[in-house]
Amino acid sequence: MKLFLATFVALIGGAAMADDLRIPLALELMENRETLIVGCKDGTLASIDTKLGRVRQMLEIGGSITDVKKVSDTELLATNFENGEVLRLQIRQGRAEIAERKKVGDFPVSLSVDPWKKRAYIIDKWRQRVISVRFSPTLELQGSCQLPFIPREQLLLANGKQLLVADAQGGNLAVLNADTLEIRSIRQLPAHNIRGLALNPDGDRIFISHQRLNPLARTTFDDIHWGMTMSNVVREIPVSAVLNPKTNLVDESRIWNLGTTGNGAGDPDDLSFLESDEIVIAVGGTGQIFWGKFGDTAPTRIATGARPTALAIDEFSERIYVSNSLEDRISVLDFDRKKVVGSIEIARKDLMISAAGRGQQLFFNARLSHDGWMSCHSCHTNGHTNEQLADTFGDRSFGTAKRIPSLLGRAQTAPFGWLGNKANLESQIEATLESTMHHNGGGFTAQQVEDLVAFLKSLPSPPRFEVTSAANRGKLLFRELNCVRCHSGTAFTRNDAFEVGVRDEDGNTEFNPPSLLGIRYQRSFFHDGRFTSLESIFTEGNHQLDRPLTSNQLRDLTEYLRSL
Amino acid sequence: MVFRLLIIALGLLPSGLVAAEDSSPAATNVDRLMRRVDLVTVHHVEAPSNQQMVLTLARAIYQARQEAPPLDLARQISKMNRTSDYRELLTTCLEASTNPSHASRFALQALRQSLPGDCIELPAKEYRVREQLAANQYVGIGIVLGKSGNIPTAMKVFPGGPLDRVGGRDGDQIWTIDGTDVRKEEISTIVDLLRGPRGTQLQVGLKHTGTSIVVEKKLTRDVVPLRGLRDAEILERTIAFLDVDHFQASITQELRALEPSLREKGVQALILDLRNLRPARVHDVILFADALLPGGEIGTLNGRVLKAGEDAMLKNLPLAVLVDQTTRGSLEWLAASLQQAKRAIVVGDVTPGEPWGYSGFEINGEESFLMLPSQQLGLPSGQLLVNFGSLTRLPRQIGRRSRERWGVAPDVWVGGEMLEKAMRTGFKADRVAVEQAKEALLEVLTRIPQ
Repeated sequence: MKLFLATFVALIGGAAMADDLRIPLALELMENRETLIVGCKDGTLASIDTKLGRVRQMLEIGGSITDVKKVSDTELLATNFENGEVLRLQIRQGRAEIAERKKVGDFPVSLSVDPWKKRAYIIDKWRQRVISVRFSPTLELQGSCQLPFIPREQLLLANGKQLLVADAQGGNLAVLNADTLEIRSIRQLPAHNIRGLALNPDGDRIFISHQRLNPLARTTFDDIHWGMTMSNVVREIPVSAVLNPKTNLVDESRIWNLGTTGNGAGDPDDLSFLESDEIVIAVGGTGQIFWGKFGDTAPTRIATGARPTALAIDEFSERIYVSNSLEDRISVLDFDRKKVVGSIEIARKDLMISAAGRGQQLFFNARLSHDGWMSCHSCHTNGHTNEQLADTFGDRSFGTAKRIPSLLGRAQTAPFGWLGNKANLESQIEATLESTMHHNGGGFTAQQVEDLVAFLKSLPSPPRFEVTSAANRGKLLFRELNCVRCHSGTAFTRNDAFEVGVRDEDGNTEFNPPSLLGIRYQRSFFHDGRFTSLESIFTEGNHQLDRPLTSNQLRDLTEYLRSL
Repeated sequence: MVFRLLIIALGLLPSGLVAAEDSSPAATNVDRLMRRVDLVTVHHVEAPSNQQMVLTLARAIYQARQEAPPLDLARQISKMNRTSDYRELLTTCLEASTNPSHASRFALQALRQSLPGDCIELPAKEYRVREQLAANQYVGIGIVLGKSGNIPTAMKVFPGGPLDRVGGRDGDQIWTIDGTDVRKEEISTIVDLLRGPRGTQLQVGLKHTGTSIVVEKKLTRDVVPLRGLRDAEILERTIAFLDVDHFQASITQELRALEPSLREKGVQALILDLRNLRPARVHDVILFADALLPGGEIGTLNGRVLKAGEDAMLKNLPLAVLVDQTTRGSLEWLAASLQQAKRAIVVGDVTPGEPWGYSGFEINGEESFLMLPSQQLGLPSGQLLVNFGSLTRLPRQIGRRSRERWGVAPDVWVGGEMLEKAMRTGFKADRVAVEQAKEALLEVLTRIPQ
């Protein structure tokens, strides 16, 4: 299938890039820890002299670097999301040089390299695939595996024989045979935004940073204040349980709740285990590093900068490098003092952050919410959705949790909210800041709202795929069935609310039709997520059908919907 | 205990009826009566018909007039179906009264007493304090107010509270507030002077114990967090006894925060005391049940099925909950839910069988709220909480009580002869259930492979 890449220019990991920040996303220590390589979303690869704390080289590769992983002390792989390629780089005396470029998938977001340095695994995000490549000695595609969810993070287990792949949005965990890429198990955790996967030094326990949104809790001040609505956790699971497909992972889990009343921990991201048995966690939303043993009620919190998301650990020199991704700065932390001892700027000279860039900083900032429990990203993962239900006051009531919608490409789909009761993005954002996030101090500026609007407008729709003949037939059927009555125009929605034969617990029967753009990337449908496949909307829900569909018609129609 | 002291110090009644004064000059007595009838009709889970309520009101007015109602009063009202008819009848009844305000208050009391469950009327400021306390967001200066030597005194100063932060100590006398001498004022007046929105300031003249100087302190009113859970008491075989002082919005977070220290102490099982508590807010109870149950159904709320998330706190720690006739509404529902899910052993006396959640509703045009049962709580099995359980499992004594309704049937019943016998051997009445729960948990622990 070909891609209509023209519609999808700068989407990395789901979020559009403001063209002014570099956005360091990935770190790797090389050359006996003397060189720190930083992969940036703007397509730059920075090389930093760790002894001097200075940038040695800014290699402009282009595209968007989403991950970097060491193959040897002088050889590195990097994924380029925009170009859909893996780069092989040589690092010599602190300077990186591209040795090989290989087209691998369409949207590579993460990498891992096996312990024997013979093979690497690439997550192809929107294609929902894991791809393996072999070093022989150039990169060769070896195999791929299709997943029923959008993957993002990965971790090799069992001495490189098994590959753990985590959901980018929801709580799915897949275990694959690393040789054959055969799926051994897919299980679901009560989780979303899985961002960190790490093993303890003994290699017998996995630690996963993620969030949990409780659909029974509300976005009231009380529930958020007492940490009932959004939990930010590290989950510990024995590796043996992960490798045994029959084990219930929740039963085997232990939970470390990050954040306390008055001091939340929105958006835990990358995490690493130290030999001291301590865990270091980058908490992106609050701009801090948490440092403590599993279960610590008061781990050390170290403020680093805007949205720390990646860590590189130098146990020998007792240093931790932290990428503050929305500040273009690397913080250096010291083991003994547990504080920031250095800061390395990688920002452009004369940096001017655009409105969309400022909006992006706000979007990922949990300090926008009461006590820092959550950011916009906590629910709208990188602008998409975390696939959860949230009981907000957006529908003018509590007790009727609603599915969290994607924001990708939705800026022009006014009105907003499930009931279509917000005429424009500004009023929707203001309502969210006030009644959902309970913005700290009760005040936010018009400029902040404008910046958030600019960021949301910069988010393109998820990628669309080539329209097949079945999809073409489905398109005709879509018109014939008068689906366009509610789903019309380029965004496949209308600026009104319609009765669609469903009622929520509060008695609402009229809903604003959600845009169908990117519907293939949703896992549940309707206001309460009652349908879990596109097919079931019609086979079980009989949604707006005046007659039953034949199996061929159902296939054509859903194929068309998946092409949007 | 601190919470209960605070409630008393604030002049709030723990339960029962508080007659609100008519604060709206324009409101007629009939308006006041009909506003309450309307609220009950719309919100009460077992609301009588309007005709029934009007009949109750009319009869009570006649009673207040010390007259027998007409024999055909019920027949007259049964033919009415318009609000104007009800109003006309009640107006006629009240106009014949020598003291219509008294008759009206008497009628309202009769109406409230006739309704299933509690129906409490609270002045708006008291209601808001209750809400603050339920949310554990009480705003004040952080003291338990009382009198010593007939002078207003901070009987207890909460650590970290506004008065504590400026050096206030237990036993400090309050001589002035904002420059006014308050030594001879009633407690309720002083409570009014001390209360105010968060962030507002006041000046208090304090006299420390053993000194003769009054020191002026500037305070800022702030949230005074209160603990809903008392310190864990470790019993035999490291079974922890947790007494709930107040079931408030922070209760789940408090228990979650306590879990690591309980595990560190090697606690193997827990007893949670749900007795002698005011009815808790349903939403807080739902979140608590959700946190304890590893998936499955919690129960139903107004017919809607509530499902617990899969992650649970206190995992692998057997649990017993203590209940009795004081475990009411949402809390007996909690006990039943944990019992049905086999998450807890229920120990104590049968509960009253009032499967309702309470909410407060503002009475239009008056500075008061009506609190009444507005949410119907059901069990996962579809059973109602009323007459829940198997009668055959209960001791004979229960049957002899011939209650019209009862709620949770405990797994281990504590009462009657057993209670009397235990008390004769030196146990305090409220500790008998604790001992029984401990015994039951010890038995559970022997069945768990170590």
